[in-house]
Amino acid sequence: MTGRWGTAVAVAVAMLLGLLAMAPVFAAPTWAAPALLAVVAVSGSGALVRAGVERLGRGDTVAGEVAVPVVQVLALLTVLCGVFAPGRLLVGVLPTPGSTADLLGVLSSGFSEIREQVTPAIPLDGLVALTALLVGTLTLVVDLVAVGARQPALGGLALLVLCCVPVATTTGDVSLLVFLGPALGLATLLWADQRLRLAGRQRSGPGAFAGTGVLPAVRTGAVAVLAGLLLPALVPTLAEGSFASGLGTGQGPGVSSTGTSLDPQAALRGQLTQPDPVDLLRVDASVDDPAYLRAVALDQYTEDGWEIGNLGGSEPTDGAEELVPVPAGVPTREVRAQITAEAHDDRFLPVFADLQSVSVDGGQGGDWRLDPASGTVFGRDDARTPGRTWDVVSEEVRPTDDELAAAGPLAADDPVQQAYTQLPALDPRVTTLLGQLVDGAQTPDQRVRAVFDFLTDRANGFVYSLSTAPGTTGDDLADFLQLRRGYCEQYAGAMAVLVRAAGVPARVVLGYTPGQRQPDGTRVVTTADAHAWVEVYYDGLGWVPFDPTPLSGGRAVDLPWATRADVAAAQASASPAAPTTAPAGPSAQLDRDDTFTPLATPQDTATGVPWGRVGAWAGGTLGALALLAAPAVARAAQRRRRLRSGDPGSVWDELLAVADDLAVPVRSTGTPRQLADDLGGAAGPGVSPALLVLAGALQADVYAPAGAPARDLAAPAREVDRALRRSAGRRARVVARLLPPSLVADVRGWVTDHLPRPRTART
Amino acid sequence: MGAGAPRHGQPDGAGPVDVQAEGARIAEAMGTVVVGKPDVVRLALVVLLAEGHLLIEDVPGVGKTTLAKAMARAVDSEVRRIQFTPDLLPSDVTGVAVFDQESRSFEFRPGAVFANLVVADEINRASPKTQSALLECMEERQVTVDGTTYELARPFMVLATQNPLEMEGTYPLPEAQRDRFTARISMGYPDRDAELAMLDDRAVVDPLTRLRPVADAATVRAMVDAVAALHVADPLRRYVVSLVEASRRSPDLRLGASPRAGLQLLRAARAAAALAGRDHVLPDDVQEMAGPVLAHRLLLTPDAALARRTPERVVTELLSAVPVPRRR
Repeated sequence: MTGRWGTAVAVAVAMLLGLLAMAPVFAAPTWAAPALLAVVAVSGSGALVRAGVERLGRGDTVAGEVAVPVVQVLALLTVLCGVFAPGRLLVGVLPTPGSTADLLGVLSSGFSEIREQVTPAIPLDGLVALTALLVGTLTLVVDLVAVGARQPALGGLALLVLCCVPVATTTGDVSLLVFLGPALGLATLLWADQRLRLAGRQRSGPGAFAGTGVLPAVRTGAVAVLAGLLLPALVPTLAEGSFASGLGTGQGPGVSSTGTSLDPQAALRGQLTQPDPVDLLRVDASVDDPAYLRAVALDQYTEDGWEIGNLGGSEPTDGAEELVPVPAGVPTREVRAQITAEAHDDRFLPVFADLQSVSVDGGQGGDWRLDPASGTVFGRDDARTPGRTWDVVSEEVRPTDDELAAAGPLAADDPVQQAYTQLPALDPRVTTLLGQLVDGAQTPDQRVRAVFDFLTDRANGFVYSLSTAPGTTGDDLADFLQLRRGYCEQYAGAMAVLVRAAGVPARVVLGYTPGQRQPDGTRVVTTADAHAWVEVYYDGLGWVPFDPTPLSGGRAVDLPWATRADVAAAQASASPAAPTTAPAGPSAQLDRDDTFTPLATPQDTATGVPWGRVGAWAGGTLGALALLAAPAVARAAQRRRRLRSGDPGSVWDELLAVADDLAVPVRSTGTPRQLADDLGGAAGPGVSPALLVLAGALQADVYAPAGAPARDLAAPAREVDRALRRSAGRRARVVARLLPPSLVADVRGWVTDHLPRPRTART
Repeated sequence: MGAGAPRHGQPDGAGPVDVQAEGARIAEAMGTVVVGKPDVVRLALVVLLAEGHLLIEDVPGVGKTTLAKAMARAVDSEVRRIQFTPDLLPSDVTGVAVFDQESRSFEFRPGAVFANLVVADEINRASPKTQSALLECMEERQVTVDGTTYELARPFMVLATQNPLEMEGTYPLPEAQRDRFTARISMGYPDRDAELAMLDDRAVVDPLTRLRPVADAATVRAMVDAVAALHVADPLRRYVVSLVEASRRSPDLRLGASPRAGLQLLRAARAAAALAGRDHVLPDDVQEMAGPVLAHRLLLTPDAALARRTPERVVTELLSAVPVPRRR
């Protein structure tokens, strides 16, 4: 059975090569090990079980057939539990119901991560577990098809599924790796296929060596790769993002195609994305983890959404100190930075919060003023940012949880309280929701937390998506709270409104996340880093930023006082011993950043990938493929069982089924000789000896006195089979593979046998 | 059982009989007389080995009697010929006890059936009473006259010829009596060459006179025993029963095949298998024999008859409808 070992190894190699396609989906290579383990576990256990079953002489039995996938599933489960849910294993290895439940938990969190992440995704546990599960399941299917049903070439369909994941999830150009890996894998499978067929033809001959079929396999693989590379160039397609550039003018969050500035008119609407990120700013900061760059604050909320208020600034900022006064006794840290505009062109100057001083081009950069109320730095007399460099110093406010919790409510007549809690009449659904959220919350901080936790707890089903679904309520805010799909503007806008409605001053801030760190230590901010977040006013502390948007790809800035509810929950469940109220330590987001490997090109992180849709699509494709392949697989298994049984009746069943599949006319009620005659008539005179052997064996088995010597019938049967297929038309051959009529007849026969019949049929 | 089954028959203390070789010799010998009719010769031989009786139906002058005579001569055995006429009496067939004046006792004078091969010419010209006397002998292989039972010879085979039913002065054989014939064949006209050769030969000498016996009654008995001991697998029995059953369910038939028909079909198939040199019976043997064995027993429905269907055709359809077992 070296043939089966060879095929099993080929399957494993093909799947491992196919894994290369998944590389662009993840930001770090840590996902690969579990997937690799899954492949090895499934392939290896399958091969071992087959060998064992063979040795026991149960190779032909149904039990033997069923044992393989069952053990493979168990092996996959063991690996997944061992890697992702090691807590409650039996003897440290064997999965228990408890660890299986843990694993299911991890997997279900993976689905949430799929919804929230964009590619390249951070290899979080759930996502990696899902990937390993997908890869393991695919390996099982391919193994079943290739080794079990002896149709390795069919297994190539699974590689297609692997290929689809990066193609569907990543934006921009898909690397060659995505195609090369699966193409090589396909070539491996084709080689196995060819080898199996050739080996079957010259079973005992010395010519059946392992190199058989290499040439056709290499040829096919090369053609596949070349076609994959050349065809896209020849086929006219819609350039990626062309819709976006066509419609997105002035609408994106700072990604209008003409000016590259933020559009302050941030209506709560679904917006399209810039196809290719443009470098906007270069930041050389004195700290490794600078805060968000504020551009402009939106402090007025009307029926049209958040708008920018009136800006006013009496003095030029150059040379001024303590531009934004910091309350005494609040922990701060000084951040100095030099910011250079690259493609940035705006009248709002991106600076850090709690700005103390700013100097544009050493004071020669035009008239820039600070609006003290909103903290916005804006240019007067057509002063704009292109080509300018500005040095900023900021005293970043970093309050502790206790300080936030201790902050009391502002007086009702406080100007900040009055200005920043103004709201138009809200949709009753919004106020009802808010009432539920803040029920029982006493302090402003408790109310803010209630809103923040609601928006950031994964369990509430909020999904990051740049394409917001059209709502039905007629109110954008209510739409978002109902559909729970949106991006930073929706999250920030909704939180600010809810916090205001809860009586706490809040505003929306537009700006940028700090961008990607470059090898030289500076950071580059692109259009993809455009962002919106919330600032909440705490008495005695000033404006404190909160970010309810689920950011990924290392874009999020760690705000120790505003740990996301889901992250806190994950920490709590991950380490039950640790106090659940210890968000001051390094949060999960920091952990994420640690594993993050910056790529050479800035990522298009603003592109929301519909992971859920991709998952459903991939699942659907897999299901459809499985459905399509089911008859072929079932027929192949049936065929193998019959041929291997050695029972002449079964072998003839198979031959007649092949004839039926190929629409070869055969007197199905005929005697063995008549059957052989009919098949010989269709297959040609070359197979007459084989048919004689087969007919003789059937006669001897059924009609002769007992004790007829058993003969190997599989070889002559395969010979006849091949001759029949050769003589049949292409269409008949395809039908015979994909929807074998004999199988349909079998199923129909089974159904009629098992259905209650009201009256006896005639004849 | 079954091992060496065909070698079983050696009733006369002789060595094992090779049914195929002996059969081939007899057929060859008969073939010198019945020119160009190997199928008919073979069927006649099959019926002989199946211990059955043959009904030869055809127009006069195609060699019915010659076939019977050829067989009788090829197998060196006693042959009697009865020409059936309307005035033939049952006692002419069976024999009669006559009073011997000298010994002053009744003495049995055997009738025509006391022979190995009985040629009953134009059987349908005799009265039903005489016909049935013969047919009783055929079935029981014994004759009872005046309370005394006389065993008939072995082998015992009746080759009855019959003119087609449409011809004048015939009494058709009742179904029950047709059923006693194992097979019915029709001679058919010889082809042109055979007929030419026949005319040639006859001008000089009757080939029957040149025919030398190639076997004797003892050999035939051994062959019959060997045939009877041939292995028949269960699936084959099932197949025969299925065929017979199917004939009873056929919408074209008023009367299907009887259980006796099944029995004789299996016997004929055995003989055919033995003649083919096999130690077991194949469905092919059954199919080969089904037409001759079954057709003359079947009665068509008036509709089928009107549609000009023939019993042979119905048998062919049965064969193609009844699946051949492919499993033990």
